[in-house]
Amino acid sequence: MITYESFTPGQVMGRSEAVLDAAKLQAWQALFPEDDLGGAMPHGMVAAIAMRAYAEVLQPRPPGNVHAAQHFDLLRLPHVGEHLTTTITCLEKEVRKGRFRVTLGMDTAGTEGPAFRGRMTVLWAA
Amino acid sequence: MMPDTLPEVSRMVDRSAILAYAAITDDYNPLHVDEAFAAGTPFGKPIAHGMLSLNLVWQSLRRAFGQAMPIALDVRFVRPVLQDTRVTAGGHRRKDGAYDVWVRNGAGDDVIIGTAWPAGSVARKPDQPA
Repeated sequence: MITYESFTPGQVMGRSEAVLDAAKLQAWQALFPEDDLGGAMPHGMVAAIAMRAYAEVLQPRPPGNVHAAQHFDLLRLPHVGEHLTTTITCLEKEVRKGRFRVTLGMDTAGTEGPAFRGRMTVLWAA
Repeated sequence: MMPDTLPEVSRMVDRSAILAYAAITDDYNPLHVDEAFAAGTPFGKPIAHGMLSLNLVWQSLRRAFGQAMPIALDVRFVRPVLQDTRVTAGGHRRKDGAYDVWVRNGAGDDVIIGTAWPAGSVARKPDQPA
């Protein structure tokens, strides 16, 4: 189990590989029909890439983590078929008002270069 | 020309949407998908993934600015979105050129608040050097 004590600021937690395939885009567009950009990744899918990386790299997690804040920098929209690598780094951790807060950095690059960056703050449950 | 307001975008966040989002993101946090677990939390019922509702902000920004890059977004999830809630996203331009963005629930309460810096915005992000 990854607990608050497991995190060390500056530590690379791991990397996640994903292909932006047509099936992923179709699943997204089934939920958000207006997000059809003709093969380009819709903006909001940065969250899907980030959350899949989070789920893959940071496990097992305690039940009940809460997503508190999020920052994204989109540099470009990847295209269908592009291979994406997301690197997750612990940026900081703190106890605030008795709750464990962990901030993770997420850098996603593809075969055409850097695509987007994220910074995610999670209230870690244990 | 940068618009003063962003187009409003709404959708219902129901169980099917939450389960679909969980499958897409592989995020099966019991707070989102386990009704029995959620019943024992202060929320009393499942809450949606924050980024599901956040997609409405992205849609609003895209309606306003197309696919222009780069674009940055910084948000806080200030209230949970309970299952079966209708949410609406929008925003307005600030004097510095950035946009205050929000997602509100059916009662008009903010559930997500933040700032967007679309391409061409004259505003300087806080993490950019002066």
